[in-house]
Amino acid sequence: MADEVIVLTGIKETLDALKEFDKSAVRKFNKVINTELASAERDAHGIARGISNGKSDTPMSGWRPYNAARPQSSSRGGSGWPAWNTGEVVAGIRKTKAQGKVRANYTTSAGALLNKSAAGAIFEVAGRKSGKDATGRRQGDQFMRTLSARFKPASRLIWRVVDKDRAKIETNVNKALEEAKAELQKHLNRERV
Amino acid sequence: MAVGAVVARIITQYSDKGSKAARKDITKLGKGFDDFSKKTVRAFAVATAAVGAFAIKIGKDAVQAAIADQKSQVLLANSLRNTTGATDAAIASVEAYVSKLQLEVGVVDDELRPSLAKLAAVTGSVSAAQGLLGTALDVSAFATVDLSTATNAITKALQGNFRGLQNLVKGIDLTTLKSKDLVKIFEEVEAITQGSAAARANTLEFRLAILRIRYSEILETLGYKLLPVIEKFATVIQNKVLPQVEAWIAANGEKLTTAFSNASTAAVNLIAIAISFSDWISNNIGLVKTFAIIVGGLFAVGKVAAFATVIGKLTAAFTALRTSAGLAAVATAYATGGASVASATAALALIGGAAALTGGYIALKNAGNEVRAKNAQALAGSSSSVSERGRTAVRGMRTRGTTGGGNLITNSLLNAQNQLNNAKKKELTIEQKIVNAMLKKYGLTLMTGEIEAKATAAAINANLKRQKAIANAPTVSLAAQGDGSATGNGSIINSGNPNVNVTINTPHGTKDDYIVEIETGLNTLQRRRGAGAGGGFFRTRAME
Repeated sequence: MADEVIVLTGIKETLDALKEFDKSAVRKFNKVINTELASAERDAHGIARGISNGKSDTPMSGWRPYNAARPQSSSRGGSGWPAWNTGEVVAGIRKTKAQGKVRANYTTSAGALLNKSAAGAIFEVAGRKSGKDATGRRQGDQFMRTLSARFKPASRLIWRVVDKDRAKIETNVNKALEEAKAELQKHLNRERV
Repeated sequence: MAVGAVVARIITQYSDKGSKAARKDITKLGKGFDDFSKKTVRAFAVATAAVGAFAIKIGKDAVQAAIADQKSQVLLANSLRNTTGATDAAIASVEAYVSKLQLEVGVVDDELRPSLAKLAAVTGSVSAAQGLLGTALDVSAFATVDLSTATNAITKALQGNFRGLQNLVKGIDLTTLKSKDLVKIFEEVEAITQGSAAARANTLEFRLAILRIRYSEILETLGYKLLPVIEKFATVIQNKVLPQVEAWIAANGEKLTTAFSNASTAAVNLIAIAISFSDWISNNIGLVKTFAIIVGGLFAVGKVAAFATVIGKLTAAFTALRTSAGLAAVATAYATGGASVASATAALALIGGAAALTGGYIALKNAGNEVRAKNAQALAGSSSSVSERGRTAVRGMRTRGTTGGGNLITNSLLNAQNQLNNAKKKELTIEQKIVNAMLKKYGLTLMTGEIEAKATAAAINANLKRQKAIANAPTVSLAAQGDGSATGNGSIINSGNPNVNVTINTPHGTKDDYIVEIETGLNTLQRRRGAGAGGGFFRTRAME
């Protein structure tokens, strides 16, 4: 995950004002964001579709592609463990422009990727926390070791895409926003005359 | 945004929602700090006041405790000196013993000292008394009675009366009691009751009592520190202040007595005046009612002014107004007693109107006289009446001049009377203003007698002039002559050129004036009778 992010300011205000003068400019800016997000989404979908253990489309041979008929709570095929359905995982990866909660640093999202499926979420973040049990062993140690060996440590799905593409996306979106602001300024100057 | 999903934010934007919330929070926090600081200040203020009050209480308690303790110590020391011949050193050791004992057994020194004094008096020995005090404490704890009761039982036993001790300590052998051997008896008593006081001292109640004793000891210590200050203060009061007060009272006692006497007399007189005033109202209820009518009349004026919109109605209203206001004003003038008839006449002149100046005036004067007579009758009542007493009291106060509070009361009464007169004047002024406003509004003039007389004279004069003018009006006689022949009856039958001779008596105009007038009249007549355009009269003789 990238530590430094670019915080864009005035997106909503610029677009609201620009809408009054040039709707095509607004559409142009939205197209940039949508394109960048769609690109990231496609990349994430590609990663999800590429997951395979060599025999099946599941990350590991023991990860069932369907829910167990008689699940055991102690095993990964148990009732609490979601089945790996590649289609479902892919469908769960979505782009969104919802703002969501405002963080403590007064920022919110202008574009993000979601990984909504349970199996996809486990695949995404498994091993990020290093919790250990009373014996000192990390819980699900073997699972995470295998997972990390095959698919690299967490994060493995959408975050991998974001970490890879964020700088490019931010730059492109920021550039588009600056253009939109410049366009708005142009219209405002014209109005003033 | 999805709940429970992994969210990877790509594009981040600034949001002022958070900052708004933050500003709100900061404001709230600031308010919270303000509230906190206010509460803190208040709490500190309360705490400071409480501490102050507590300090005062501690100081007061300490001094009181020290005084009581000192008294108790002095009494014990005196008793020991008298009964046992104890020295100061022995007394000091006894005090130390008492102080220590009270903390061990939880019984205050103010109870221990009298018991010790009693036992010392009976035994004649301080050491024996101290030993028996321990026994008394055990007995009181054993029998759950106070130390004084136990001490009394022991002292009586020492004097040969064992009943009290037997009642308190039930287990004493009767044989031993009958033997009257004090040593054996007290050995048995000690055997039965030993350790009771110590055991009681370990109970929660007495441990708390010990704590209280410790606290009172501290207070006493503080009090002993404060006592010299109090003593110094008392000495100053006694030696410096009290003699001055005594001297001042000795010098001014007589004046004080007179002043108090005058004040009380003034108070009594004031009560008498108050009583007489209420009595005066009941005796002169007619006058009070008259006053009420005056006030009512003022309201009536307002109503008339509001509703009189046409001249006819206004005239009627003025008549009624003159009557009511005139009645009110004159009756008031006479009813005020001190007011002169001139003021009543002035009131009548103000209201005006011929009716009021004639019959109305007489009627009102009679009414006023009636009221005044009644007032005088009330004032000239018997000497035993309260009214008379009240007036006498007022006169008395006036004659006394500057002595006592009578002068002040008289002045107050005079001021009140002046204020009432001023208020009355103000009312009359307002009444006059209302009348003037009404007259101005409807373009009328207030008809005083003089104005009315002048107007009447003018009207009569004008009438006479008119009559005279009518009498002196010129008369016109016409004589027409057709074709040169006179008809004699004034009608002209034939056409032609009749001549008309006009004779005018006492003419007021020129000849031409009359000719023009006659010619105009004849032309009008001719037109009405259908004459054509050429049928008019023509002047045959030019005007001169």
